Amino acid sequence: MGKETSIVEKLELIIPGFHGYKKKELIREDDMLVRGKVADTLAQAKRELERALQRCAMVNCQQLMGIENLRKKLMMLESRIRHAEAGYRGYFDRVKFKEKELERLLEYDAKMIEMAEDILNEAKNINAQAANPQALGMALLNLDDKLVNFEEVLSRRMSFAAGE
Amino acid sequence: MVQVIEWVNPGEDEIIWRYPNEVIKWGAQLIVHEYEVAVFMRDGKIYDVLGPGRHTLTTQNLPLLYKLVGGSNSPFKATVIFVSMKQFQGRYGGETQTRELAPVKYYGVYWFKVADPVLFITEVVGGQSLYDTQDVTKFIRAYFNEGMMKHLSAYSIVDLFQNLDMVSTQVKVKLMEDFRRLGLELVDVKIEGVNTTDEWRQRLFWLMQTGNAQAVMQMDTVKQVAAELGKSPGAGMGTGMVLVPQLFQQPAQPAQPAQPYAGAPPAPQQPPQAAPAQPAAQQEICPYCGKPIPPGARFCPYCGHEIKRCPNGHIVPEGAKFCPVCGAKIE
Repeated sequence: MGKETSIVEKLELIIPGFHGYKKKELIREDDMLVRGKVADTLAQAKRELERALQRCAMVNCQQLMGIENLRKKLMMLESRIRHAEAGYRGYFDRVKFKEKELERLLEYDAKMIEMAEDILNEAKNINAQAANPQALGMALLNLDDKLVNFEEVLSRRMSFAAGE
Repeated sequence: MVQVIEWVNPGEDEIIWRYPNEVIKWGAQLIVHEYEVAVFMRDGKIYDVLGPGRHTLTTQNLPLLYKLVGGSNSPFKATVIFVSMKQFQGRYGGETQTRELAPVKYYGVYWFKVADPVLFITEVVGGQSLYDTQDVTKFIRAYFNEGMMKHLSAYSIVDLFQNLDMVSTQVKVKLMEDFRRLGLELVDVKIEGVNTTDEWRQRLFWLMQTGNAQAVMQMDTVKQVAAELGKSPGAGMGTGMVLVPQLFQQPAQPAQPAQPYAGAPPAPQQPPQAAPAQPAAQQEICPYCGKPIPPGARFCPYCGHEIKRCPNGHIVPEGAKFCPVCGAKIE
């Protein structure tokens, strides 16, 4: 499986007046792919928390609701990142999106990949600590912090995509 | 002309929709919206799950080719099934009992979404062309009722009302795997209402107040007797005065078995055992409304009737000259 440009797309890229539009489209597609990767990592973290929930219910631990709240937060973040705006402004809009700005969006997404990996590791940690109440409590707080940081970066990206 | 395949105006509860035309031309344009995916099947096999965007479908239905091979009925069939990825709401409800065997009715809502479109189509939908939330609810109802019955029966009714969120989370955790097995994701479960009968509600209230199941059962019996006596206007009051205090007596303790005579000299007299502590105060009941009143009360706190007593403190009927319990003269 590879990411390649079709003949039609290559033609589009050399047509004067159209190639800029096409290049932006390709960056947007890349942005979607990167966001997809972030969302998939968060979905994996969510599955880890679901496993943790089941283990927690098995040993009757007190943090069931705490894990459940973090799962919902992850679910919300996953949907937000997967369906985030791709940075499009029409011909008549006052604010225009240039290639450079679209690349900034990609940078945000790349940064979020790293954060999402970190979140996934913490979710795995929670899963591993299901039978240890004290360590579980700390792990929950750590994950909550990481989610808050992630949401901040995501909000900054959204503001940027909205031309603010 | 280019064939455009798109799910236009999906209904609120529709989860999947099958594009009705199976002869999809080469180069047909498939439009998939952000909130859905399209499963593309060719020659009966699933080829891909296509996400949001515009896709060009390549089938073997080249205009000349299929007419040449199959005439009007093309053998190169292709199917597009749209699956909505939004969250759907289903309802559940049923009846079970709590830890103290009180009957409870419960009902609520749950939210789910399709997690794995291929699994969902192959395991649940099959060849149907339209599938909605009612179908899923019908499919999953037994899992819900089983989970609810199991968890609600582990709680007392008071704990249940205080921990509804915990119960719903536990049910959700239990059902997650069942949903995942069908290619669905259970997003949330909420209990909207839990209810029991009036009779049980009163019984549980008194159980909480007194902490004594026997007293509550006695009270139930007295209430039933009072209700039955009320049907006989002539005998009601007098019989009630005699019968009701009797019903409040503690059941007699089983007598000690007699010692068989062995001819041996009597054992030295043991010091008398300390008598078991008597209940602090015998519960009294108002002869007019049948509700329990504080010991020695002169008026019923529920119906306001004056409670007449003999010099020994027994409740006596209005206008009586002698106490029906101890025979003392009423001044």
